[in-house]
Amino acid sequence: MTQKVLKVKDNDVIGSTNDFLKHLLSSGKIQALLVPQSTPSKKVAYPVLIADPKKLHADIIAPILPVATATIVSKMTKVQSPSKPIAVVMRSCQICALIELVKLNQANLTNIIIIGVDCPGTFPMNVYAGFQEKKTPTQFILETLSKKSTDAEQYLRSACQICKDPIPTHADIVLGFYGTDIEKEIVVEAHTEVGKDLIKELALEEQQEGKNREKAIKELREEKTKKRTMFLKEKEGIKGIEKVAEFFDKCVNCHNCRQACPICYCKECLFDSSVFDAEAYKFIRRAENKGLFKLPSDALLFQLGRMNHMILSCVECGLCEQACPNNIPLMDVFIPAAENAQKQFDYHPGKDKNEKVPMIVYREDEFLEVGEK
Amino acid sequence: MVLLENILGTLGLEKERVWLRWISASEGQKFADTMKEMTDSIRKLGPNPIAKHWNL
Repeated sequence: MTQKVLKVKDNDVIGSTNDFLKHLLSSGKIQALLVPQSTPSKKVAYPVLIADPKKLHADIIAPILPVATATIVSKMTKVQSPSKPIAVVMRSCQICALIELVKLNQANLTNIIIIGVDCPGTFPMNVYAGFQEKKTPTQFILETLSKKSTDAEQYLRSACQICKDPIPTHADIVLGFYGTDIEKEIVVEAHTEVGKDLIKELALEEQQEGKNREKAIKELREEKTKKRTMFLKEKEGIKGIEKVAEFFDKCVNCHNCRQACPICYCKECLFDSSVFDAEAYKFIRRAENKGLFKLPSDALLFQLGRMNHMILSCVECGLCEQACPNNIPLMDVFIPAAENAQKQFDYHPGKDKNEKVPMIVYREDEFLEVGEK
Repeated sequence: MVLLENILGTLGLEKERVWLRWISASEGQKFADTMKEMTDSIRKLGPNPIAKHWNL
């Protein structure tokens, strides 16, 4: 790994990261850049694909994740990979999701250069878009990073508060905000040969004290693990048929969560098919059997079916929860379920490109206790 | 199966309600025995508790 620093000019963190990205795009080594940039209203920052460096006004710190960046990269590479490199700026959870999609043959990393950014977390879409404070959400995050205040914490999405790992592990280049005085310098790490080649001609300075970052990352991970352990303990109670039914009471079966999930890639979801349509007499027979039953009757079945399908690859990005029109705190159920299932298979989604998805590997010695005794 | 057992556990259903057995087409006796064993075991567990919930 090569570690360098990008000097921040006039305390302008966003401006300096943009200068860096502009140089990258002008270098001719990449043909386009996928990066979050604010819409003209400034209400939301979406991933934009930029070909012209003059049009670049990115905001890579903006604490918002409107859509799964992994899904965008999947759409861009599944049919045909780019002929020349494209750089994509992504948060840690989205890189993990992208790696899962690659393993599931839904995305291709040929000519995709991943620029990972340290992620201090994101605000829910509606909080970000309707932000009423004097300072912008980005300023809140910058204050967190420069350790001036911890006010941003209260706005973070629950998934971000207990994030497994805010530091990208699978990127060609990482832009690091932790363990550095962000108003003076940003850490630039090149983790691969492609990454090294890309930053070699950029105006970066040598890193003086690499130890600071290591320490800061260790502390951050410890803090998140602590919060996560508490969260898991708190949510243990959602068990048993009554509690689970109550939890999903507000689910209207709209399937927005599936649409927002980077892992749910099925072209045709069983739950969108006509499989639950039936002759009227079948509905009536069911009503007669029980006396009555609730409609739509497949909402809980959908939630559990979806969970069964994607939970091993769940990267806990929390986009399902953000997409829920009725504010069901889905992470309360999905994070404990993911933790459980992934532990049983000793599987770490998005952490290793070569680690195969458990459902496609057969191991004779696995789970001998299941089935015939 | 392991994932399914997890989900059943969360719902508070006994994992013994779902069985996985491999029986070849030539193992008629084994098929009959397993079926008997299975129905006996499920009968012991009683009706599915979810059946009485109309909101599921």
